[in-house]
Amino acid sequence: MSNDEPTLIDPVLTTSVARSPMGEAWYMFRRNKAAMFGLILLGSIILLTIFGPMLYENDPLKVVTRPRQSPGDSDLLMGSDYLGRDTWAGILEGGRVTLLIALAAGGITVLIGLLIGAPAGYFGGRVESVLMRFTEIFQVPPPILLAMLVLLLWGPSTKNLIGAVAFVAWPQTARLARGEFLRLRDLEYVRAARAAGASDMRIMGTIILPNALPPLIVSATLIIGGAILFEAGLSFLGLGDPNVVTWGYMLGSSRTYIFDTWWAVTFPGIAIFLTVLAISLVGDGINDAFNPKLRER
Amino acid sequence: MSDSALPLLEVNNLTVKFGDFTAVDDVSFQLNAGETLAIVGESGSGKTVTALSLMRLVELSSRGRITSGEILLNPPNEIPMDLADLPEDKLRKIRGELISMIFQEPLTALNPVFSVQSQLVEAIRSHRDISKASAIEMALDMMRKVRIPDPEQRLKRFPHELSGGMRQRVMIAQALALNPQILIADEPTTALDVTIQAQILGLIKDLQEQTGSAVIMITHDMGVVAQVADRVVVMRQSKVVEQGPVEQIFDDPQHPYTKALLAAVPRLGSMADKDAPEKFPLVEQDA
Amino acid sequence: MSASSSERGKVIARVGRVIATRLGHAIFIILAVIILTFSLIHLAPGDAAEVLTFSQGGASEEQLAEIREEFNLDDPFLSQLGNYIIDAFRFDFGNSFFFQQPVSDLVLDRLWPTILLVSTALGMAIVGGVILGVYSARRPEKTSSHVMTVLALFGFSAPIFWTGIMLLLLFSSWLGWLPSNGMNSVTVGDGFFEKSWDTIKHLILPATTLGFFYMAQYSRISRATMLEVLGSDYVRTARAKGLKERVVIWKHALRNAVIPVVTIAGFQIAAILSGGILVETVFNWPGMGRLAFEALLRRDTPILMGMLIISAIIVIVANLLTDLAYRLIDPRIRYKT
Repeated sequence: MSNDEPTLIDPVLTTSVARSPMGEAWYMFRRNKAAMFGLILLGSIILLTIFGPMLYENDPLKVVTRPRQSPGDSDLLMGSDYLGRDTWAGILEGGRVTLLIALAAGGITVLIGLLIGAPAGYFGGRVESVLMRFTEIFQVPPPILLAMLVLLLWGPSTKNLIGAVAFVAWPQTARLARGEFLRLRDLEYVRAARAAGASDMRIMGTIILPNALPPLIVSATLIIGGAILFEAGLSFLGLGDPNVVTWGYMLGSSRTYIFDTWWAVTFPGIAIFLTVLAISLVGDGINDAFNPKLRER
Repeated sequence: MSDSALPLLEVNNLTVKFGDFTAVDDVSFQLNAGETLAIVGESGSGKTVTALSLMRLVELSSRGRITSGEILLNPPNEIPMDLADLPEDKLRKIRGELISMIFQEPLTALNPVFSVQSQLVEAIRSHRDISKASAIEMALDMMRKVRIPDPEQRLKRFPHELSGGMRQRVMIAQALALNPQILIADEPTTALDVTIQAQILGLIKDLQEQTGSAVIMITHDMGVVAQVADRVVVMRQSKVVEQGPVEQIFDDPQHPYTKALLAAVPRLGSMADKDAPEKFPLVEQDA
Repeated sequence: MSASSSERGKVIARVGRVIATRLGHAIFIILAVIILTFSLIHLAPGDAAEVLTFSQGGASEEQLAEIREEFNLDDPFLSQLGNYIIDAFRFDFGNSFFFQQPVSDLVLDRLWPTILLVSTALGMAIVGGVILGVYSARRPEKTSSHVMTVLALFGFSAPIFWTGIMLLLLFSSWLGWLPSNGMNSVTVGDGFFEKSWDTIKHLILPATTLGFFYMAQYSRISRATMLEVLGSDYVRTARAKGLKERVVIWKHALRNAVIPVVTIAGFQIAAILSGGILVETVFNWPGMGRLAFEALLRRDTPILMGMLIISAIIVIVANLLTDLAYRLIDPRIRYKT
């Protein structure tokens, strides 16, 4: 991939006159090998976590064999943990829960971010300075401490875990949404809509929001990746629901046995790593597809 | 050992390429000691690339390549050398010492994070083994020569605290600090206000008379050429289309492009008896 | 002479204005974080005293009364809040339930190891990242820049504590090169050099774990800026002056390329501290993160509350230092408020 030399005539731009913006983005995305790799990887992981638990009957929370079986010693693909629970079953089952938690947390994060950031960017002035000051307060304490305190006070459950992730992640989206709404509010068609008497809510919801979507989608993918990591961190500290298997929970429950059962901490970590990697490759790909000019060399 | 009949700088069949694109195509010209040579042409004609090639900056800063030709420098009392064929460490000693350059954009040509003083002192001390104090003295002296008011204070300033005209004066001070044989000025006034333009051109002219440096003035403006040049090289689409003494070029231009450039300079009274302003006559595009 | 002394007066006035604005802002944020923290215990479900003790009805009446007394829980909310703020500004965050010691003492005891770990990691990330970035910008076509992009992606994709565990398994358990646990070996003597060397050996793994991702990220940023800076007019001027290429790169270009890295690093201090807490847990590094984890295990809310506020103060102080560094590097924004 060498695009050091600027080409005068971009074959993509000249052949793509008839495509819709979405079609154009998809076309650019497909040409991006890293992004396609990410998409295929992510697709496989999702399929595996949806169908895997159906095809594999071991319960990841139940002791099924002797403890500390290394992958080579037993008939289990990835061995058993310090209690004798099946690591592979945990990866499959935990993947589904992990992805659902991250998806929910990502959705809530984007929603809060929009609710705070959009009016800040759109109205500007005092509204903006109050909302952005408020946002700043949440960016100063280290996110993990804030989430720890919240989960300590509210108690560890999957619902609270999702809430805690969103509670510390939203400021980033709020800043992004503010920037986008600020940039778009003075464009011609927004002014035209305002002149035609459209309400502020209507302008924000139906005119600016669709145009602000590409960067928000990119940030949402990054937030979902970040949410997986953050959830893993909190579960590692023991703040996840003890009755629900996630990849982070697996890491956390084996944390004192890493020298005895390296496989029980290595495989869930690899699962997290591959998933987040796939998500960020896809996110980068979407970003490049929407802004071909900004692509990094 | 230099023969006084030899020109100070002799460029023979210089060709510069960017990838497959030929930016300078078989260009030859000469520069005599003390004279002012104007290289004229529209943007993209290859005049700036030619100037950068003379200092061999075209490779370092813009990834161009000199593919053929020679750039012969005959400094007085020194052995002649071909700049096109000199290793980087020798070139470094020539840059700023024998040949200096000032640029079009005084706003961006100085490093924003260093003070004027540190940039001037650095230019001097990279070639002269003198103390910092005497380098500051020299810098101050140059600031006076380029007529910067209150030079002691200005020396401590950062570039963003000076106006465009002041920054170009600083650039000139820096370029001329070591009395170079050749000053290359690449559109030095284009980015400046009209009144400042005349001051800067006058300043270059005055300093040239004081020091005896030769000047290569890169410009698109025939008005500037008329003001400062002894001889003219006209470039278009990477090639030299015409060259000669300034009188000859102005009185009897041969190439249609030169004629068009000259016609673009409004003459006093040329619009008399006309009802409305006229468009400039354009040269036909040759195939 | 009078001209220069009035000049100096003007500079002092400008500097004073900058400091006043920044300090005012810092105090506002700290106040807001204190309010946020205190509000959380009232927003949490259940009676505040029971939330604080996690007793859910099991605590003795004396314990609950003690808590009510300590946090003035029988007063109206605003008066409780007012008292908490005043105490917090006096650096009094109440007593830990478990340790029966003032929270501020406990946190301050753990402050130094955390600062050592985080600043080592950040230093490694900035210095290493910039050097890598500069080298790869000089040779954009070389594989080194691809390697860096890949490393940054990898660093971002792995949970930081897991990276730590993997390094621990590799370098400590299998290769046995480095210690796995704590900040000093039990057997180490008291000699300054012996002890420092021991600390450094303990520091390498956690600091690398924490710094690695940011190093990859900063190298990408400085590479991108460096590419831009190398094409700039002032770099061309520097070369036209006849400066050595080394000076052009490491003085003229670098100073400008460092600016965005410092900016980003300033934004990330809270996140780095956050990562540090997880890394400390993995390596049993006796810092604030380790304390936070102990507090979590013992459900010791006052410690976490105090730590949240103290770490917010650390972040703000670090931001002020970044701001200062930024102003020293870039004269264009030196006196901007």
